[in-house]
Amino acid sequence: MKRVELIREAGVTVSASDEKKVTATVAAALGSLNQAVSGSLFDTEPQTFDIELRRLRRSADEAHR
Amino acid sequence: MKPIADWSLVETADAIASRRVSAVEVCEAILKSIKSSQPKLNAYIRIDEDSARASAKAADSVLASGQKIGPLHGVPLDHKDMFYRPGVPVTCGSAIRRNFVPNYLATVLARLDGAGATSIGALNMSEFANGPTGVNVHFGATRNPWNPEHMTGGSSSGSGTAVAGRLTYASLGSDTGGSIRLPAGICGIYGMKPTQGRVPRYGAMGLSFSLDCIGPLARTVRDCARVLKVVAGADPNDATSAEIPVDDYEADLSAGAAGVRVVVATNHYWDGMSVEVGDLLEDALACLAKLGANITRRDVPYHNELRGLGSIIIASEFCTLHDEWLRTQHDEYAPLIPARMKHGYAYTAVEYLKAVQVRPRIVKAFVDDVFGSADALFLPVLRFPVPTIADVDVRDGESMNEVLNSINHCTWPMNYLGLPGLSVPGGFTRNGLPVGFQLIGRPFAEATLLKLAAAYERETCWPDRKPPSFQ
Repeated sequence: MKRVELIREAGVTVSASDEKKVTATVAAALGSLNQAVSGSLFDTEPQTFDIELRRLRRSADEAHR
Repeated sequence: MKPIADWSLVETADAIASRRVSAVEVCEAILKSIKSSQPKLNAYIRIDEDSARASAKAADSVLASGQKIGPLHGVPLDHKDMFYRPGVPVTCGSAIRRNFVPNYLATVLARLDGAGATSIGALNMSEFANGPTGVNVHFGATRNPWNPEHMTGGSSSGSGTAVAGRLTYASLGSDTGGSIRLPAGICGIYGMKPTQGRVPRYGAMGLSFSLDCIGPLARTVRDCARVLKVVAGADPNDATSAEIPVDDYEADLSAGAAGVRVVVATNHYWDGMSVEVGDLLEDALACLAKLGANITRRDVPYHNELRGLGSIIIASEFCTLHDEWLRTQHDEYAPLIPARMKHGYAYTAVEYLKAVQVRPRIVKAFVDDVFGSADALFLPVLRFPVPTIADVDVRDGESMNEVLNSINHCTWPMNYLGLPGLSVPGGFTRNGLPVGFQLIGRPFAEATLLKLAAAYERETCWPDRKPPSFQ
């Protein structure tokens, strides 16, 4: 299924102009995603972004002591 | 003596606290500025004269009674029209929410109320905080106080104009891809996008719950520090707010820049840099070096990945929040909004969650790499002089992505990383429009950025320069 069909399936209007933009944006974004996710995410904790920020702050504090 | 509207927030708060001026006098001076500039600048969506006067009068009564007052007592602060207060309409810059009246209070407004701030009205913004130009088809474009033909940047467009134009003393904005840092840099003021989680979002309109940040726009570093201190900190109503203690951001602002390690990103963020803006940014770096900062230059990682990863998360979450309206009230949006965001429906759940799941890994790698040997990362705000509104009013046309992505080219990547970013005024191009730069820091290192900016401010005095009067 083409990606724009997912938008139509959701019940949202897609014009010809939208179709062109969506196709380009999605291709670029998925390219970035594939570049970022190299290897497996199997051994990662679930959604720990906020925990990582706090851990980085604490490690900076400790380095300053 | 300077006119009241030209005082900084801190000067105004001090003058009210010491009874050199009354809150009512301040309110009247600001109301006069707002009313005379509104036809030219369009900073306000709503002006509440009666309630502004009543709250100023109440602030004076509190002071007269000898009660303890807060650090913003009697100072009028107006905000992007997306923070909820019971019984007060909040449009979110949209037609869809034109008649929305919330029944609960945003945490940030509760904290400003507690500090004694008053309010005069609600500021213009990009529709649903979506768009980096300040153009709004429902309420009209907000105009840059340095030249009304030019854009303000967005989405906190009214905040940028009102603070720079001396219509309010500071303002809260929101930043999901640059929406505080762009209007601040483009209007010649300071704008702090805090660390993700630093400022609670309860009662603020959401665009993307993973990336939205609320923060202040202000005319001086100290003003910015004062407002951030008031609104920051954990909130039981917002489970995503951070439990990390809040620093005293006004303390040590005189610490100076000596020994501060500043790294300048040499790749991506400088691609296509205009000669004029590049020269001004080099002047700013030379000034920081003269102040004793240790400037180094190097490539920084992940710029290719960060736009796409942020894009997947923002669009997916926008479509989640707007799903009902996108299906049933599509034509009530400006065409640009769905055209820019509807690709959020085109990702699978696995793709969205991969973008979420890889985030801590990338932020750790970025922070270890860049901030292992630096205290601040120096980035441009824009790579070219501030464009005119006509140049950027692309609607949903063919050039939409190219034009809008060029505006947020330097700000967008930092939201995925969740790092704090301070937009700093850095001079003016030959056409009289401001140039800004960003200082990016480690997680929760807002105080470091404010101290460095304060040293630069003392040397350059850019906040003393005033836009042309429209009164």
